[in-house]
Amino acid sequence: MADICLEVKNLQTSFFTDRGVAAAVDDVSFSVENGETLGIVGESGSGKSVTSLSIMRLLQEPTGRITGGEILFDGKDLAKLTQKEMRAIRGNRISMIFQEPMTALNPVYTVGRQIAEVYRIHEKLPKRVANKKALEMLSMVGIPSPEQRFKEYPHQLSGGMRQRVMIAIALACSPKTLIADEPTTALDVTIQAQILDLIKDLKDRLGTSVLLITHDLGVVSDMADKVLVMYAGSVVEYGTRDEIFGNMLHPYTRGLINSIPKMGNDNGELTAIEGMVPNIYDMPSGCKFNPRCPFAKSICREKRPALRDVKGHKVRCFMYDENWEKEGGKDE
Amino acid sequence: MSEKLLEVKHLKKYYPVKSFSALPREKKYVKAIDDISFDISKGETLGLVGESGCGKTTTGRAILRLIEPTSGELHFEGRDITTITQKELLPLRKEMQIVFQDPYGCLDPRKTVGQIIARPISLHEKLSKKDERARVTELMEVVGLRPEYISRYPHEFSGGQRQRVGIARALALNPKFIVCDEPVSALDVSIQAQVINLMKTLQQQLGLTYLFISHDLRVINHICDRVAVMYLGSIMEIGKKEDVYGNTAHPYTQALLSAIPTISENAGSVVREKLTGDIPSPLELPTGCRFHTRCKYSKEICRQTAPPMCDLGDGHFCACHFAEDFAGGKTCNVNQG
Repeated sequence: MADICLEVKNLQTSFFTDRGVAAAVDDVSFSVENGETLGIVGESGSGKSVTSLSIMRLLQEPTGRITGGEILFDGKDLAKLTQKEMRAIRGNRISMIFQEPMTALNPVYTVGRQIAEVYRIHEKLPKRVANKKALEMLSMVGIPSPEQRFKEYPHQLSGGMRQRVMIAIALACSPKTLIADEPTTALDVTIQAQILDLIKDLKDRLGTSVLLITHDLGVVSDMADKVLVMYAGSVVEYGTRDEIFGNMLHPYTRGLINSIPKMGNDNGELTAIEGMVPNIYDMPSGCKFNPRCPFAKSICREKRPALRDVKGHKVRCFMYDENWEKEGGKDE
Repeated sequence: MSEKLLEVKHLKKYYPVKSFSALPREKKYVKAIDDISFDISKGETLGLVGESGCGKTTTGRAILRLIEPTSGELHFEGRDITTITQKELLPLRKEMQIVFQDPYGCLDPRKTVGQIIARPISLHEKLSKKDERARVTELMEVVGLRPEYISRYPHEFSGGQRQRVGIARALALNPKFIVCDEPVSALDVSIQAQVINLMKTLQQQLGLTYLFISHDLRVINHICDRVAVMYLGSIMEIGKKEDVYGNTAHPYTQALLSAIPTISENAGSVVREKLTGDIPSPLELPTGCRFHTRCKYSKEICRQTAPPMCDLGDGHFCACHFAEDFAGGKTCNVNQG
């Protein structure tokens, strides 16, 4: 068993708003080993981004707060650190790439300066050394003519290049964990393939573990060692990549896969998941997926299923209970 | 061969670029669409696929004359609509509609859904208030919205529902032709599937013709009969879906297909063909073939001469010097003009 690098235990994150308390992340647990990639998949509003922001402690406090659970990293519980202590870890031991590379970079500084800043703050390096290391980072992420690009501003770069700069900033201090929140969603497919390969390659070279957050099951299938499927703030399925894609169990995961148009010549109807993601202020009772689930029985509307071990991975569904056949009240 | 609904011939749209130099010099243009030709038959769906900035959206809008084309010809049902005035175009607007990409930006936030859907009806058809309302309720049912929602505002709806409102508005006048400009790109996969199913059903029921613009080859594959692949303002390959996906003749199409992240049961089973580099600036198009800077097969001829559109038979065309080699033994007839 390899060393566990990041462990999240029973994380609860809520937003306290005028409309009520929104439990955006509801009892989420997972662990990432050194050098491993964990893919978190889910649709918008499933809580995947809030999970990553909670780990980074970047929530808009006090509206959004971690209300329970632990985030164990480097022998510390990140959930309990002060912002000052967190600042020494963030960008240094654990760092993050965001979806929009344009808004994540500062438009009034050159990209070189933005990368060098990481070294100057975390490693207290003098300007000249920091610049030299920043230049090395730029060529490492595969930017052509790095000397020239070093002096350019974000608007002079294309989307793919900006994302490469973001990766350079994130990996500057060789962090133990990299959180990539939809790193390729804003990019074209051909550029997406380049960026994913870059992340894969750097991960192997630096031994970084990656938390990859995405809505695209294809990306996860390609990149991840382990997969966590989230729905409405909860984990619905969790297991190794081969387990999940070879033997998916939860009706939601299956629905997600079936919703993707296949590349074959089959032109039939897509099997869409009916209905919509529930309102966060008004979650259905019982299983959160029951209003959209084709298999729901009365037990699903009454009780919330627990995450249970089935055939080698974890699923939150009553279908895998031995008493399931006896349960009544299936919808017509 | 079924009847052609729309014919596009040598369509161009150039945007002049301001020069900040005092010296008189050659005027520069962004060639958003550079000489494209295709046609769409009645009842079929033509997919237009390409990366951002390749001119897909401009094409969609130029066809509807929401953008005035620089040159070229547009024929709708045999009638030349390239030069007719906007006033003459007005009755044709009933026949040609558009569904936009962004379901948040394309609906007026201060109007109710009922008003939004009724707007085209009140502009084009003189119906009594009662008939108009009946038509709106009918349309809402057709696209799967509950008629009780008629007096709600767009912000009360989810993305998928808003896109349904946009579709209902486009259907309001019983059009023949709809330009669908990335209608599902902003939606989650499970909702995306619902909207795609809806659009397919509507096409069958109402006999619609679609120009379906998307960057997602999987979606295009699912919904389209024929596919056109665009790169930097021109069509690289066009043909029946089976030919473009099965007998891919252009290296760019091959690269696009290979870049799709696929779901497979075994890790590491996917070998990707990587496309290096970025899309060149449309201000300074590469000489010769516009794809040669990123093409792994590029040879001297690709850098010097632009490849002609060559006919691979059965409506399959490809703009590549070596199309014959890639398209699995098909012979290629160079078609000039």
